[in-house]
Amino acid sequence: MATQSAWEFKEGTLPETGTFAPAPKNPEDLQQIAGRPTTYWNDAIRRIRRNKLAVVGFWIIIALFAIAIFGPMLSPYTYAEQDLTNTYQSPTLRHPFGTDQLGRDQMTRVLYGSRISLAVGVVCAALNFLIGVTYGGIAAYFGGRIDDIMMRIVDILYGIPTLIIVILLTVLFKDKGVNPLVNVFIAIGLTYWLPMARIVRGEILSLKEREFALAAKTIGAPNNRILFKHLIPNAMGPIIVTVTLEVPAAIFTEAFLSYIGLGVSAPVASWGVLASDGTEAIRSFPYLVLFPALAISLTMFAFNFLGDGLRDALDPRLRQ
Amino acid sequence: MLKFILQRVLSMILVVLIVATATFFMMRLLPSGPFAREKKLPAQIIQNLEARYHLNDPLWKQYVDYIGNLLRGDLGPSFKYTNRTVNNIIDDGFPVSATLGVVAVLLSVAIGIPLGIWGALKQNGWQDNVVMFVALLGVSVPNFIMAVLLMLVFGLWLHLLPVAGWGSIRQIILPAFTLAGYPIAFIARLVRSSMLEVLRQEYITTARAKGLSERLVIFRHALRNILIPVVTVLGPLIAAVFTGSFVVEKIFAIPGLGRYYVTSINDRDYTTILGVTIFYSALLVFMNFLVDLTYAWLDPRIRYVERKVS
Amino acid sequence: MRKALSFVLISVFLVVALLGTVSCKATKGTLQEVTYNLGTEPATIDPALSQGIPEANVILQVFDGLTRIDKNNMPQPAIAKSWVISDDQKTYTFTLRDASWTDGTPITAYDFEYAWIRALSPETASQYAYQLYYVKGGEAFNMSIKSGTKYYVQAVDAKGNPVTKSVGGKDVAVPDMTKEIDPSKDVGVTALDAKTLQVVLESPTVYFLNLTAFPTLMPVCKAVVSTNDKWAADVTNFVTDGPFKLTEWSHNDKMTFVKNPTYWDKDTVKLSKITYLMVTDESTALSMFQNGQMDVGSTVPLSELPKLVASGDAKIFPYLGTYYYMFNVTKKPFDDVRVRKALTLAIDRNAIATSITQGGQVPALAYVPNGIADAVAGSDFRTVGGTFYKDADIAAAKALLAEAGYPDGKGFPAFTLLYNTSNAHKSIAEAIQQMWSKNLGISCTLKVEEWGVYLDDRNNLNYQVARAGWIGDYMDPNTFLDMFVTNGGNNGTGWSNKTYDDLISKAKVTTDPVARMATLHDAEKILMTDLPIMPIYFYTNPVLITKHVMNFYQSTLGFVDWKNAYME
Repeated sequence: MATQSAWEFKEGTLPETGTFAPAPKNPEDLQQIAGRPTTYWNDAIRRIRRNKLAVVGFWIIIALFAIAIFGPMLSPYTYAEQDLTNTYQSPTLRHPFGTDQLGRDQMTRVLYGSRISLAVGVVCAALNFLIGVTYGGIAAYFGGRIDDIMMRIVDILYGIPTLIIVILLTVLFKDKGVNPLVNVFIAIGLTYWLPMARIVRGEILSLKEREFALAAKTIGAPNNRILFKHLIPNAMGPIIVTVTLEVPAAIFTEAFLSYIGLGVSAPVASWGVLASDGTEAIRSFPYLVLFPALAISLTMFAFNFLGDGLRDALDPRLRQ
Repeated sequence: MLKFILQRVLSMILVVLIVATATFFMMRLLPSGPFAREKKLPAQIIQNLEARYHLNDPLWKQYVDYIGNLLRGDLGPSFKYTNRTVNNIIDDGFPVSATLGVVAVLLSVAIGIPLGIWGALKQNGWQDNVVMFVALLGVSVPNFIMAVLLMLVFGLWLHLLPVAGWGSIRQIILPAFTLAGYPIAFIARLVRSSMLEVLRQEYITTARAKGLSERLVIFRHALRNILIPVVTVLGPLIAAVFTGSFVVEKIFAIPGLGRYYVTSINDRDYTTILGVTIFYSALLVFMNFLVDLTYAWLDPRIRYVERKVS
Repeated sequence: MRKALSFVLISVFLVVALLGTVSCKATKGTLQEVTYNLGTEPATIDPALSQGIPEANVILQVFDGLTRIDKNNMPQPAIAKSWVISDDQKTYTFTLRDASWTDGTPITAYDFEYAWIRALSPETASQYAYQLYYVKGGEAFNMSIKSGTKYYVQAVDAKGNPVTKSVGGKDVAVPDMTKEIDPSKDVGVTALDAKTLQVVLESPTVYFLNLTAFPTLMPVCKAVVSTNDKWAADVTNFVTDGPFKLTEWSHNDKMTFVKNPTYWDKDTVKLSKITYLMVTDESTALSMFQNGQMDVGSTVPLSELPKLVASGDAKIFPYLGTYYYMFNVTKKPFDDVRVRKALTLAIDRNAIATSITQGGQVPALAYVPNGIADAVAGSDFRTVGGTFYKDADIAAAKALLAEAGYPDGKGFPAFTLLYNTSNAHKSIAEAIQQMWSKNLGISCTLKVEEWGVYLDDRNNLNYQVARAGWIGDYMDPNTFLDMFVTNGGNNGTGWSNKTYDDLISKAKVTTDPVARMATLHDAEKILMTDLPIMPIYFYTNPVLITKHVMNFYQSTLGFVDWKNAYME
């Protein structure tokens, strides 16, 4: 709501910062002066609906989740059912995506795999927003020593080999009865918010010196309000881009994690696992890698279209 | 500024030491050791080996010895490759990985930034859609598939380039493009997104209104402001790419440093694990330091030293 | 803007196109040069420090031992031109031929003595030192404790337990200062003169002449090695005596060998140059092979194997190894031999070999693989021993499981099948999981672990059923059977059988080949009756090889020898 202030105080419309004095009135009132609170979200929804690609992306995502939940139930095969006399079958009507090295129906495996991969993608995106954005924002906003310490922690986490941590996690969680996906989320949670934290920090370092931020500070707006309502919304562009790029990386990282023993155990296979297993047979049986890779790409496209639409709709400066 | 730099250098050294310490102790918690084999070695032979590499010293002593040697620039002997030191391994591997890395980073910047600007200028036009489609494809096809595809298409089927190996310029092309795929996409999208925002800002409108040429507007006024996220990405990217990528070096059979980040851990080659980790993190903190300096240059309003506001 | 972008794209395209057109392929003709993919960087080129097959495949080209293995896997005279074996088969006296090192100095018996003592001395820390334990006093010397410049036996207390002292929390062995070991006297290898080497063994060892061709037992040039401990760090001081000479070693990239002009048998050697590549990725190696960048490759991607075999680009070589699953016999329900047998019978090895591994692997219906000579000339240990159970004998498996108290798998506790990271292991585990489930009605969970974690769990009996594999060290059933003695380092199952232990000990000291083989057959029978392990298949070793390479030899131990190979 108060995001309005961001575009009200645009570049160059304000005099030198130094000439401002803290406003005597209740700062909340001041912030509301330019507000049109009832129309902001309506506005956003209206604008996102006008964006055809965003709408398409939205429906694809809905469809993907529906497939993840109901798809495997509709298939005549199970993800584990083998037929050693029918290995490496090219796509046919019976097996639209072909069969794998154990004669399993690849379509069923892809349908089932979506559950894991979508879960990993969603959790990765959530972690990016919850940890990465907040962490980077706080470091940049408070700056100075706080920034130095917080960013050095990021450097340390970047520096320690993830593989060691992951192997230690497999040992730690062994026979503990923890849901294997939780282990994957922990492993991804350890590192996947780091690029986001750095990107957001870089943006906020610059944004916080802009006039609109200084103005908000001058009129006495509380720190968390300036950070979360003024600064972060203005960094939405890079944030959305980063999320949409981190998610596919996380989906493939899950495949690596499951390869070394962290995550769901065979014969369950995520898209990432199917794609990397399929790559080994790419010369003779390219369809094995094609379909899981297509599924990942489709998901990425859908999220990107929606993400871009959301950003355009939510970005305060892009409002016309 | 000098105070800032000094402080940063100190905190950088501290970061590397913390990484070294954490890695040292965590790696020793890993099950099995450097001499574990499927054909188990007789206990006495393991004891001889441990004595040779001082692994029978108390852990704290090994740690103190290691840090002492580290400060003298000695990363110790490799446990896996007899007659080779970790310094040898880095000396041999780093120039190779860095050569490949320079090419990959240049490609990322030289292709990613223009693509992003182009996309933004033609927002929602077909050019923009094509650019974003390619960029998305670049991130949703992981490097292990990209590498194999490039190798099969350009190496094996079209016979345009050698499929793998190291030593000639032609052998750099495929791995460099594989390495650059993700960063190109990342940078193109970041630039497009930032550019769109910058182009709507009033100073750009003002500049345009003043009748400045489009090119001047973009390069003089807009570019600086879109580079902050790009530079943020480039810091860790350069550190990661210069020290080598495991997947790319393995698939293209490149004798770089990248493969040691994984094989040394699988081999429990303790000194090599530590050596490459320390090398990477030192490069990383240095690059991030450069990134912060570049921020201040790109946007003079950014200041790292706390100001007193009266 | 568009111009700038077009410029970038066009220049990128041009660079690619220009460099691409320069592509030229040299025609090989009958140039006696071969390129081989070793598959990995060798950990060392020092024979004493060899760790496995990649190192052996380097060492065997540049070194020549007392004997050399021929294409029938039999030892032939090499640096030793002849030998005399004493009646008790414990003393071997080798007469060396006139041969010289690459630096021109003659090879003497002192070089052998020095090399073997060096490989055995504790501070060398050789991982294959146990290959010299057959030599009298070898094991004791390898286990001795160095104090000052001398070696001592580890002290034992009154009960015979080794004495240790605690130094900084670690137990360190204490030397018994009254019992010195002098390697020149106490180890059974002595140079009687420059051309005569005498070796005294602990006990008769019928395959000792095979062992003298093993990398660890290669001679080293005493004059060079004793004065330069970095002699094997690079090619400059690497003085050798084999058919080829190492001239270049670019780490993780390639090695170059040329024909050794000082080799005693240089007329037999036809290749003038060998290039070793270190391409780890199987698919990349195949691409390079298909592109003409390599002639022989040690790995073949599984999914392409049948096609490549059919086209003649891949050949399948025998490999002395067994792929098996092991049961942790100390834990329920696998402490019951009927359960182990039921699980062993319920899998279809033939389907695994033909549909999954596809490399001509032989379904294993016993433990010791084919390819080891039995007592009678020309016979094979496996053929003589026969098989111990039927493949996919589901009816019998069901009956056994019911007898053990789990009719149709009812009440069978859930268990975990452990394997290490590899897609081949995964596919086999998935197939076996389904076979057990379908044929016996029992279910298990698959668990993959990183190599080190897996080894640790295996060694600590922290598993229920686990994948394993064993490749022989020498051409004798003993290399497979002696590992399952009680508390054997490689037993790994917790299985213990007194009769079995006795038979293995007896075979070690039996000199009569017929009696010895009979003893080993008896031992295998016990193992295959009690089934602490479930053999799945006997390994094979597929190799990519162009038809231009002739006389390529790869031993059943996986060692490659280029001495007799040539290009056509």
